[in-house]
Amino acid sequence: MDIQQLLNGVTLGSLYALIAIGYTMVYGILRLINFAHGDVFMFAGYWVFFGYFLFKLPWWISAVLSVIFTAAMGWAIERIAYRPLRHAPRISLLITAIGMSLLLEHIIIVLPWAGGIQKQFPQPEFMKKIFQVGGARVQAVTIWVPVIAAVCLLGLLYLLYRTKVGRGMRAIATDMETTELMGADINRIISYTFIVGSALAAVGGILWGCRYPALRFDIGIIPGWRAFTAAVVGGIGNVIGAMIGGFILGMAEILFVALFPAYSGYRDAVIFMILILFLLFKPTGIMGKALKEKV
Amino acid sequence: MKLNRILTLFALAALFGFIAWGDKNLDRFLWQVLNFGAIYAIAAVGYTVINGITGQFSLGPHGFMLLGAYLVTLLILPLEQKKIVWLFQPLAWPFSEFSLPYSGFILALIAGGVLAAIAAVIVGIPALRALRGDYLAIATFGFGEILFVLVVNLMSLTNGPMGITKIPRYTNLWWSIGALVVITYAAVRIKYSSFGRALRAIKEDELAAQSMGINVFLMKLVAFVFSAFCAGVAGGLYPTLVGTVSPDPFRFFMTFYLLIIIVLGGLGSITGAVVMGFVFAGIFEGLRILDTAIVPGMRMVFFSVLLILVMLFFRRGLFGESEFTWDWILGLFRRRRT
Repeated sequence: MDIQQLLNGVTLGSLYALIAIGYTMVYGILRLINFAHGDVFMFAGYWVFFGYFLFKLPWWISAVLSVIFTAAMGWAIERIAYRPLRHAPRISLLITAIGMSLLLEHIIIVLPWAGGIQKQFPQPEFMKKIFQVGGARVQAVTIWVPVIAAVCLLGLLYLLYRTKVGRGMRAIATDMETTELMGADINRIISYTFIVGSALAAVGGILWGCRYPALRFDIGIIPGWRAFTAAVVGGIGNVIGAMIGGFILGMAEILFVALFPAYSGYRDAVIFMILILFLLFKPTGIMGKALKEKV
Repeated sequence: MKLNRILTLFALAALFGFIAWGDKNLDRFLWQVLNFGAIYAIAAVGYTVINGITGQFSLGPHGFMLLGAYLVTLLILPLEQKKIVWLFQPLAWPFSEFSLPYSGFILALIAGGVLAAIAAVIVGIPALRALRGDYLAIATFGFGEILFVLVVNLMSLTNGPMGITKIPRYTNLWWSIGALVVITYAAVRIKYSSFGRALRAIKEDELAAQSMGINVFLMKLVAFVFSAFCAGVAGGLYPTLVGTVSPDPFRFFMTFYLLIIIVLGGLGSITGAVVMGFVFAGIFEGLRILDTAIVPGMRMVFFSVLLILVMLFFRRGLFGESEFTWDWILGLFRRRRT
């Protein structure tokens, strides 16, 4: 395996890690598989697209606005569709999330500036540069992606372990009722969770666009499922596990395609097989703790 | 009790009279909507047995429909057509040698259901034993997606994403509504048997059901297999109605439609699923104008908003868990009299 493959794997892995964190944080707190998360990720690419081509903003301003708008979307989705169902059966929540996912996809199809056809994500010049590293030709984006992802992940760890909101998130994940009884504002902390998760997904979506510039309404689905698989592999509910799981999945995918190019059409089947096998035999993943069943 | 049975017989006679008249004389659009409605209703009745009555959230019916659709197509496609369709890779062995005549259609449909049921056993034994709630949903969803990938890639059986054309259009109102009547009858019998009560006990409280001596795993498995059988039959009626088959109609959207149907009908209500199956087909075909006149995709925006609103404000659906019964209608009259 040469250095180029290795870098590709690391890049893909960091993208999966950025998305997987949103799944794992929401699952840790609400026990909800947020079906709409992959589509929030997809929307981030479109925000940049709108900012850059529609409003003619500079690329980096579009990117920053995209992160802000995507985070606001995450907040709004929780506020409108998930919060009213806080005390409903969990399956109702899952059905609403499925509805939200399809709604987001079809909003893009319906919008006249986007539509169901493929669009080109605006790649900035500094991402496109190519250099030589030890005989391999490397695009700047494969270096930028892991670096930016690492900064975001360190920031997240700081937020989780060194701030009050982060402590609140960890407290809710351990026991929501007790946290509420201690006087913490549950709703505010859950809103923050969605904002942080969506902002990270937005960073992931923008970087994804720089790496794979095809933009379409359904580009969030497959990366979303791979990232969800990464979250399960890493132990769902565990943020560090999600990062590790993301890297494992990214490397595994690049390896699979490199070793069995003839079977690359089956790689989604392989990903889902990994997901199902983990759910069946190691549902706590490699980092997670077993959840006790409440009687 | 006796009155109910007489009323049911009259209703069935009226229904078959309507089919005998309508199959030839109905306007093409309405005929198509009724057929689609019956297909959706068949799959939805099975879906509500596992999802609504047993409370085990499966997201896999599109995969089971896919199996039924392709097996029925492979069984009944005429040999000449089989030679034309598989251009790049020849059709795999057993199917390349024979094709069933019209009289074998019922066998093909049952085979489609049985194949889906066998797949359900294979998935269900590990999944239903170990998983519940959203993990079960994800595992069944993943299974459906794996089947989808296989169908796209196994060219020698499915002809891949190009699909198969010129399938004999055997499905008519007799087949679709006939199958729906049989499956609805079976589902209602299941719901009100001791088996059905066990299923509802599992939904309410699995641990309590287990301590009452119910074999929870076996009950879930049988309900799951029944629902897969229904989905397989519904899938088999689909290509023989539209005349073509490709993986596309059996994407996750199909499960989403079925979910809308059983949620609107009331999770756990069989008659609710039947009624909403037809209503959904009517709205879905009727709103095609939204897609053609305004923007493509508008219909799905409407349906996803509808699903979210129903979940937020009207979680009971049309019938809740209860059924549309003669007693209920007669009760309406009695109340008026007093």
